[in-house]
Amino acid sequence: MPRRQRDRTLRVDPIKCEGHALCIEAFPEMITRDPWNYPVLNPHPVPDHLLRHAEHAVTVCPVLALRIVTSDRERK
Amino acid sequence: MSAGPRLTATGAAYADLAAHVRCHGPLPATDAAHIIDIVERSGLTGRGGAAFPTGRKLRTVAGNARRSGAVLIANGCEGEPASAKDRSMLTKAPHLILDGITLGARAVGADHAYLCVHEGQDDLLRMLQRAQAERRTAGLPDVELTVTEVPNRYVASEESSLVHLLNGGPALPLSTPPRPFERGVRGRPTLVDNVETLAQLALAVRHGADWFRSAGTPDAPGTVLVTLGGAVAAPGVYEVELGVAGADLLAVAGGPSEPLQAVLAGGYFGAWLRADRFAAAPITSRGLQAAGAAMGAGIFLALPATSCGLAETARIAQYLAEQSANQCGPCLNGLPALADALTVLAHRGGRKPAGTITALSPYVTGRGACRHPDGAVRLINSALTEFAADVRTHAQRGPCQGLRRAPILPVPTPERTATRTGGRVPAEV
Repeated sequence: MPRRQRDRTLRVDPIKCEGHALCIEAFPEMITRDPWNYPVLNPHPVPDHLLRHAEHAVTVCPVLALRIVTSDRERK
Repeated sequence: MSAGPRLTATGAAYADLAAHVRCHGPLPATDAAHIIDIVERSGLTGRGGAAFPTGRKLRTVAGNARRSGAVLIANGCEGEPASAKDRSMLTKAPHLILDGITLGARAVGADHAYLCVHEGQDDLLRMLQRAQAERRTAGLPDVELTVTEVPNRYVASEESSLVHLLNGGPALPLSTPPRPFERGVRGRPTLVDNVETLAQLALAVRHGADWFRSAGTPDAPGTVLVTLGGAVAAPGVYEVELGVAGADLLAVAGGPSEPLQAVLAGGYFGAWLRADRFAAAPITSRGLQAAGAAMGAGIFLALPATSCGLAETARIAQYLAEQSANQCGPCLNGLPALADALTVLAHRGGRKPAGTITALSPYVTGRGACRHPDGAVRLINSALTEFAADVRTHAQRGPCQGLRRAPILPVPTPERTATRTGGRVPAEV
């Protein structure tokens, strides 16, 4: 029986995002700044120990542009 | 071409229904499974730019639509300023496209179809009404079809923009997922195909997969409509077999009208190729991608040796920046910054602009809701690569002699549109 792993990845809706950049302040470990103050997301899954920070970044976005998407894959 | 023209076989300026049926035969009475099977085996790929396998798209939409029913959008907007093939096809052979719409709708289970064209073409609308009236008189079992006018804007004909418009919104790209084939017009799975693709489909279903594959190459079967422009003897729309070499493609339009330095392959969503590299490249989606360009919507623009490729590209880049929907920050801010840097490089020179372009490009590609910013960045970067010697000349000695020549690539006059999110942010690079 293969073990399942749940990946949680950050995703921004580029149309909703207005560059308020609060997510960058909240979660600099995985969200950096582009030259116009818009967030650049680390495409890798959020490690478990940073999940609370990721959730905080989602919460502080004033236009609800940031989400965490979950996907299941088989653990190697 | 060994097989002779297919889409344009009637040779008429307007093929009415009688001429159309005489040339191509009647609309086939086949079912969905048969249509999808033939199109899959034919190897037909989309002729609007993405070159996605049409059969796979039909099967996916049909599968998604089993309970809800589907919608079909025939995209005849031709957003590329240098392209003329869709309008040419709609004008000369509307019945082939209307056959393709009916067969495509049957394949995916759509009870309603839309034919989207850019606004301001009253002659085309009248002609389409005439064609539809001919079909009603003949009692053809057509799907219900609405001809829809779309605003004249580059990104308005992007597939999610068309879905947005037909759902009552503005013709601007939507955030995806869901893609239209999952959830589109009125929430239904929606097949969006270019009008030439549907015309090709109508021929494949009539004559079979083996016939379809008798032109082109095993990897890229069939014929394709191309728009040849710039410094060629006879610019225009031509039907050619996929897989011909670049040099033979230009020969179809009478060959170069003067010595060339490069060809813009794939239109303003494509890339520059030095003339010698283009001449050897096979005209297929894969062949042009391997060379660093794209098939796009089949647009090929030849640049004379005495023109400035950087200045030509800067004009297009400014146009593409203007045409941003201004919805996504990296596109709204990034495209003008890139276009301005290229304009400075072309018209003033200096060492800094090329560095700015290289530094900003990674912050633009892949960061919009649609592919508009990706295409603009690809075009700009191909200019830096293919005109590398000019980049050095401009950096060291300022603008080149090519600026004395009038630009030859077509760029519509800009119409500034209101931005949604207010002003741009200055780049910190």
